[in-house]
Amino acid sequence: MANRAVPQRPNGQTPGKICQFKLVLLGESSVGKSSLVLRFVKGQFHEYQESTIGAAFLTQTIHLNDVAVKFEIWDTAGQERYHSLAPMYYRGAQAAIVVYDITNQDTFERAKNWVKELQRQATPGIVIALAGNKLDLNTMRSVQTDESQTYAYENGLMFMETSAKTSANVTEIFKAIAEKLPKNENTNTAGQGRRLVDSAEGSNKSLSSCCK
Amino acid sequence: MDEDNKASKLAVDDNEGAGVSNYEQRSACISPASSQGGIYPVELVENFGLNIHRIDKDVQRCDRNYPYFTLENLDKLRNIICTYVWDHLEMGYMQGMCDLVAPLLVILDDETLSYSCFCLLMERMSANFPHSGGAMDTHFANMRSLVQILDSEMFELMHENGDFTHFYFCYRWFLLDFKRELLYDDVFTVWETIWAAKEMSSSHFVLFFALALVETYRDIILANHMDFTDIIKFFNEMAEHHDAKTVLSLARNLVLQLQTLIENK
Repeated sequence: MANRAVPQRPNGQTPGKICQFKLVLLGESSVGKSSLVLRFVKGQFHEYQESTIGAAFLTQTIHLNDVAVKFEIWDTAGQERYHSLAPMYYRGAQAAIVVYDITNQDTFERAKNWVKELQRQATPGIVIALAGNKLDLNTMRSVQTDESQTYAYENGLMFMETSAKTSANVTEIFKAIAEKLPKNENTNTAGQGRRLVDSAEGSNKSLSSCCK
Repeated sequence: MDEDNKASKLAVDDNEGAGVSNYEQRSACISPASSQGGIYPVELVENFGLNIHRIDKDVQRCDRNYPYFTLENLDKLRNIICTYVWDHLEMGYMQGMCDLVAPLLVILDDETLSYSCFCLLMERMSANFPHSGGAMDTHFANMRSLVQILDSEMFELMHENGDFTHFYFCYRWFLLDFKRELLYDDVFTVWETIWAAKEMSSSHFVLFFALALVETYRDIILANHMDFTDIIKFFNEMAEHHDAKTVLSLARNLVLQLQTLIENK
């Protein structure tokens, strides 16, 4: 569709520029990936959000000054067993949110592995944000803010602690990513980020094909 | 033609995997966790512990909007999956298993019966899960052949949008026998039809139901020139809003169409 990149609700203003970005959510199962997306896209929260099978695709547009930034969001399944599907979804992504649960140290370790994999295999220059989710469970925290902050700083990641339940920092993290993404003419080709490849190709060849 | 040969296999009843031989296969394959007395190795216990942790995370968020799933009944669900995983530790727990147990438990309301049914169901379904047989790729390839033969216009569109041909938008359909796409009452009807079709018309009825789902919305898909992401989003949003009876009847017609096509060759 030729008009794909036009935001559904331009709020009466004439949109100056429309940028479209592919964003992928990664992280251990049950850390709140789908809940973050559901909060950001629909403003909803389900206490018992069911597990994601395969992947879900949603879109949301936000406005930064005169630029409309449209996120094409791939929400992935978290369980390790579905890891082989992930390259298909992060390949070609301009941004990623790697999510962990602040009450669970293991999920933070898993997040670090995702960051490593993205830095090795995803699009060079991909903007990666680390999200410590479930901030509403602060009293049960096991991952300290300092620890994540330092890790994020050392690895060049953006970092925020979020709560899909209370909506703390949810819009903020997407907005911060939108601000960081390059908005020149080359990056807003509609449909550029929509390509998928089969998982084998994605995991083996992504680096070489992305470096061209 | 190659495509026709592939397709003709889908429309005939094949008797591979009749109950008895499958049962023998299963009992011959003794899990490392089988109760044979003695002391369990630490790794085995740790492995099972990890699995229980994963099971717990998913059980507590399984169909909680459905009134049947009180804490008491969620416990039954957990018992069934833990027992299955204990007997299949090499496979382990995989996301999606809860969805396959849930309808069985709701309709049978009996932990032991549901467990037995789940074991039999998994004889067919386990190959769809990652790292256990690659049946998903076969489903996608079969879908591709069916679309090519039965709806060339749709195939043309899919060909244009190269990614479409991977058929990943069907992933959840095949993994869960459409459980997430339909309301419970319809899940029962569709599952029974899939099981009965194995004896009556085609042991690949899932493919025809999947094709019927696509065909139900073909005009919308074609008119909007949907690509892979459009269609995955479309079907995510349509979940639990399908008219299952109409889709089922279309699926039956598609089996007939293919059979007629083959007979007339």
